[in-house]
Amino acid sequence: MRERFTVVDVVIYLLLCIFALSIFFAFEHLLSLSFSPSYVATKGGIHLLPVDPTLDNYIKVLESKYIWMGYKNTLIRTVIGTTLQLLITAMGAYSLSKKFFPHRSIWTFMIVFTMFFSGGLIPTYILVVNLGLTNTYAAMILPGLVSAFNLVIIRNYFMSLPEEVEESCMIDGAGRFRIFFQIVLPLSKPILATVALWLAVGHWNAWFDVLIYITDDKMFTLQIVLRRIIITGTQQMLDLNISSEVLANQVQSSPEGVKAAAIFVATIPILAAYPFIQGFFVKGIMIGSLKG
Amino acid sequence: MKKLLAFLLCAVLIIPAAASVADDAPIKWSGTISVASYMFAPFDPDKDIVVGEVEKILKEKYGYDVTFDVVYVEYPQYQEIINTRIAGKTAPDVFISLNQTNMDTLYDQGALATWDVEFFQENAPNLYAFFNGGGYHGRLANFVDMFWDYSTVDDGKMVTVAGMTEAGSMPYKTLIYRGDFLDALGVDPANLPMTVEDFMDLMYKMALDDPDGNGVKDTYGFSTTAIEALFGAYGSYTAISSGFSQSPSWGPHWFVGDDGKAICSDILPANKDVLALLQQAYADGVLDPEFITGENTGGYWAISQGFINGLYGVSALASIDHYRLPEVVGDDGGRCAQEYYAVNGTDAKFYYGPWPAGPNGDYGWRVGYAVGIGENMIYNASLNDDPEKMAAILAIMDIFNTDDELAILASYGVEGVTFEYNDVGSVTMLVTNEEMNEVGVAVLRGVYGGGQCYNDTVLELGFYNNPTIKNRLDWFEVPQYNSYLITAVPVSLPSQSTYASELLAYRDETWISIIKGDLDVDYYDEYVQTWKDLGGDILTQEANDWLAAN
Repeated sequence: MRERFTVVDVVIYLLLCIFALSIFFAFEHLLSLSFSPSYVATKGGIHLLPVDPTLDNYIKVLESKYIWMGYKNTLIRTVIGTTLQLLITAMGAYSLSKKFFPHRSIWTFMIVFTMFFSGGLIPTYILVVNLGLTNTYAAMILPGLVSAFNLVIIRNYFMSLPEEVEESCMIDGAGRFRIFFQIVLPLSKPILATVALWLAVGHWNAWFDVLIYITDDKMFTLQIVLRRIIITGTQQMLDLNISSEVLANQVQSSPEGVKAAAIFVATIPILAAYPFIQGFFVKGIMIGSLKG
Repeated sequence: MKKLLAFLLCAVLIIPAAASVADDAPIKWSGTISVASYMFAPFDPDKDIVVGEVEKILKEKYGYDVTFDVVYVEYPQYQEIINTRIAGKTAPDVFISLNQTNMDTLYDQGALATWDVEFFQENAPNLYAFFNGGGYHGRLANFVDMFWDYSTVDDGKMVTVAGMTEAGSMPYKTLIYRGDFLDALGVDPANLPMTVEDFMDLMYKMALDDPDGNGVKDTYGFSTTAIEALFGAYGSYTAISSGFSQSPSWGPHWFVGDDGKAICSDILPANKDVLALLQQAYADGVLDPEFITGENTGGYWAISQGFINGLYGVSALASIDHYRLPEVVGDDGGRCAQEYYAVNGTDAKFYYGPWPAGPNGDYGWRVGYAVGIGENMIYNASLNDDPEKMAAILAIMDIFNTDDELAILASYGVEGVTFEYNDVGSVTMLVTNEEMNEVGVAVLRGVYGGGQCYNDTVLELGFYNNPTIKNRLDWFEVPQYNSYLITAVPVSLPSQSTYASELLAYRDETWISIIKGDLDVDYYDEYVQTWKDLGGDILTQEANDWLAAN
């Protein structure tokens, strides 16, 4: 049976189209800017197609050695961070999803409590420093290894799985670890894919922890490198009262086209991952959120 | 025989080594100094051609066996990162003060090292003489007292070596006019307006006489920054370059009235005349209606998109350096000049114009002081427990003051690789700012001074003989291009952080309403009284107290 389109549907689709276009045009403008010389940005206006098309901006961005080093570090932290985080979070969630887990509500409360009150930046920094984690990937991964929010979402999903499945496995002789890895995790692909996407995007976009914990430039991630390209010259440097005023005038700021190209270099890899996970994403978030 | 031969060979090997040791200065201090200077990119020890060489010279020639730990801290987040590291006790020995408020806060929290003036004199005698003598060739002799005032805290101890450079007291802005507008209106670029009347007359022509020749009323005379020129013409000053409601980093501007008392420029009676002028210009379509948000709509801060794209004919957002002509240095011109040519064509012209004078002959914009807190370095409180290291830091800074070779190496790198000398007695950098820092050039900025190396030769090469600076000085010798406004109270007042933002917001809200015609100009009198009640009186009292004490 064919579904009927009502007026309300048309209005909703129309509004969604306008919303989508409003995002698309900004993105498209930036894309055309990335293929245009810098004066086009100064000249102003919205461009859907590049003016005086050029690849110079991309060449300038990609020839920087920092970009490739940043890619490498970002990939490492994203892959290791996402895998570890997902594993540890899922294990914690599995424990808390079991009704027979002793003092479950107290443990859950203690974890949820951290969503509202955190230690703050400086205590976390001191902890990381005293553990000797600065200038290591561990500094980017360990402090946020378990997110309370993700843990609750996954726990809720696990709670929705029929207990009988696990019981039948136990009758067949499977232990807790086998059940967890071979039954529960494969059954939870939607929620795991969803959370994995969140974690991966989070790691991909993260920059502040690198700024704080990493001083070795060989450990800088892509976002830090791009941030430097984008920030340079966009503001007055230091106090105008003294010699920096001379310096500020001599700063070689990045042209707008280069900044636009840098943004695309950073976002395209993670954008490419979206379509493959989108199916899981919708299903996972719905199921995880409905169960309280 | 073999043993004798072996002994002789050993002796032959040892003699030169011993001789070289004998040539080296005795080691006075040995250790690591960590420094987080103002940098564009991280220092790469594998590419280093400067830092290792500086360490070698300091050790062999002066006996300071120092290893520099160059810490890169991204500038836009500098304060946040350094504060976190101070809390975590991982801050470097030497870091940037950024501004007076930040330095005061860190000092109050016990995060900074202090030392006696005598300690400075003992360990850095040449620098002590340099600052007391008024800097380069004594040109800044008027600022010596101010230097010590800024460098010391209440108990007379030094907490920093304040920045001392002529750039701070030198004018750097004037009006920039579009050449095509002037051509179209038949205005001789050599006779640009010298008075407010002539200036406003030209602004009306730019707005109403179709200077872009397209038959449409789509141009204006001026926007945000030329408003500052009008306030200057009436003896007042407003910091609205970045747009209204953008808090100026230097706070309220103070003048001394005829009665010898401080008065804030935001409540000067003459402001009323300027607001009346602006209200009329806005109503007549001469003032750009987007004057509220400022002239820069994104990207490099000094670019006025409206000016470059021909929306209005005059701007004072950028400095004269930004509009440096290509022939001055032989490059593509200043940063904004390049944008101007890219958009308007390489044949396009722009002209520097004088500040228009008001009814009392006043004109101009703000100039500052040659001494300031900003790029100067401050020192980790841990150095209070290690006076020998603090002494070494000061002594090394002193060495840079006298050793030209070392100062040039640290400031500019290696001739032919990172820089070359040019015909005008200055230097031309052969590498970008990022490449410069990667190989170690200027990464020891914090060790040899702050923003610059306090060494006469380096100051000549980098500043006094710099064609950009010379270009600036040449233009500002022309009558009325010079700026004269100088705040009488160049410090952050005790209650400034409490009241300044609200006062600024109230000022902007009121003035915008007056300019747009929503409020009558006479409302200005009521505004002044409310301004005082909102905390302005307290700030004025504090400004007067500061004047009395200084």
